[in-house]
Amino acid sequence: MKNRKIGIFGREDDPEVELLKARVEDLGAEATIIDLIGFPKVTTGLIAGFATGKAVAYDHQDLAQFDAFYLRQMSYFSPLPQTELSAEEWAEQYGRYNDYIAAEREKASFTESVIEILSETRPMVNPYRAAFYHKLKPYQYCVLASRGLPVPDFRAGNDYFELARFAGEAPSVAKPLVGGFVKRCTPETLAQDRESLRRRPLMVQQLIAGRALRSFVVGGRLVGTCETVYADQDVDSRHNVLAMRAFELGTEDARLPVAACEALGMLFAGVDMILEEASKRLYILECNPAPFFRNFEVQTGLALSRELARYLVEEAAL
Amino acid sequence: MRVCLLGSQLSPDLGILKRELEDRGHPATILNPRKSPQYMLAAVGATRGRAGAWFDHRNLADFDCFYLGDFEGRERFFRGSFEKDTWIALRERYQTYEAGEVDGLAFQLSLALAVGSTSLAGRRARVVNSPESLARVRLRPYIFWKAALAGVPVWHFEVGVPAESGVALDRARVRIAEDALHDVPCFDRELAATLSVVRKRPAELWKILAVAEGEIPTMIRVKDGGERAAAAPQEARDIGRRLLALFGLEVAEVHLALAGSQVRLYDLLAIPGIAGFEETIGPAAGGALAEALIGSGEPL
Repeated sequence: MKNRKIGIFGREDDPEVELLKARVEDLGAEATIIDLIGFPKVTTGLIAGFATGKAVAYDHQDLAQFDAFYLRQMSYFSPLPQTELSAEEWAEQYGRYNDYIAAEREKASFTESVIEILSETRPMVNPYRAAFYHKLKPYQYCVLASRGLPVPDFRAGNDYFELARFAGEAPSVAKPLVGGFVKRCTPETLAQDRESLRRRPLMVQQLIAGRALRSFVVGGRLVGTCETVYADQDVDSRHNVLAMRAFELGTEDARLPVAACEALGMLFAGVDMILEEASKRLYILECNPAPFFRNFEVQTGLALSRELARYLVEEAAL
Repeated sequence: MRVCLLGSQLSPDLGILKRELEDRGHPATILNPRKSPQYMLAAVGATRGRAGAWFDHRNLADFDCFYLGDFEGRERFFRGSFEKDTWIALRERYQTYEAGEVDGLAFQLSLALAVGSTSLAGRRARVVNSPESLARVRLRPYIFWKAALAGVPVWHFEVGVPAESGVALDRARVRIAEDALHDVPCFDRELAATLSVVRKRPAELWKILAVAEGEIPTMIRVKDGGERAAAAPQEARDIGRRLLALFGLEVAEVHLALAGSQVRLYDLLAIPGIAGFEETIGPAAGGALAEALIGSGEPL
């Protein structure tokens, strides 16, 4: 296992990144954090060397010399930078805004190119494509449904009448398409938010009441499932968390998160699911290609980061 | 068969394609995804495992084939000219708009991906070019790198900020996308310190319209500031076909630079400028693209 070089794309101060680096090094491999935040102001990057196709350099490191990568964070994929400027920063952009957004987009394009190039030559967890699809929740649901995997019924879009009709048929929740909080949704709440649908499409999903589970899948193998227990269950999984504990899925159910990752091309994922109380049926809510795992590991004792590190090092050896 | 052309009704490219398709007996409808969410209603969903997608009251499952003539487009936010006070007052409204924009784009992409990659009403429509391929081909460094790795000769480029060298340099965006819609019209655009793809301007450039299921024997030859039709050499057509296979594209506009006797990849545009080709080489361009979309489909 020695001398393998693992690159971790992520922030230096990200606890998940720190933990993974430590686990990789526990296995005798070398882990380097590749933090793209400073590019291009502080750090330099280069894509060149067509003859060999090998020179992809960042911050004086030849990335082609790495054996495998973990992609914790990818830049935004919108043509618009998602950086909120303060009032002062905004004022300073008067007359200069075109250059600012162009520079931001070109920076993101460069780093996306680096990741896409490396994805094609070295094991990348997760590949660019899988990471990209994380931001496309409605598409994720369509793919899973078309593979016969159980997802809740849903509607996404800006069609108020269709969303309201759907929400009126059964208890539902509203989810932002890319990121944000989940909340209960009824025709009345939609009516209040109707104007915002002209700016921001929404996903309305059938509410499934049951036990909230997250399975971690690494390299096509289920490495553990956690149940999140809530003091007072809110529809957003981040609120009112009381505890996390290990959970054992039945043999049939254990196949679902693995099949979902396979459908989406994810080599590592935290698969959010809900086990419906009434029917005991398992539904897939979302596959996260760069999930938080540290808290789950601390609270459940599951060896999530160790399994991920082992997979990266093993892949690096191939 | 019924074809849906995704893009602007005002696009000359889509206009030509619509005409060529309908001349062959295949009805074509132009839908503009850029008009959603502001104006057009759209939805994608699944009920008991069956996926569906609707745009402006049309069931997208009714179409047999989609052509993506626009990708990541959006409605312009900034219009006209304004003073600094107006700019400062616009901040909050713009931030609300920007926050919605990423969700709007995610929805647009989900819609395009859903119609092409999942079964709507029990069947899968063809999408030309696939959104996955379009997404990847936005990245110029990646295109050149991958082509070079596959043995396609590539015109030398660097990604950086060009220095004053006295040599005629061509600067291209690192990512292929529309810039005009993101600009504030009353502001200048200098880009002096912006990362760019920088390369020497070739003395001669060939523009090939590559179609996986067909052959277009004519190309555009750009030399001495002028464009004219010319026979496309076999070598150029072969490179075009290789690039399509390499990037999973069905159609593309390929720019090749002439370096001595060698032809090298200069650019790859996955949404070809059909009108530009038609203007120079005649109706063969739109016709070949229409034939490629129709494939073996029967006229209605």
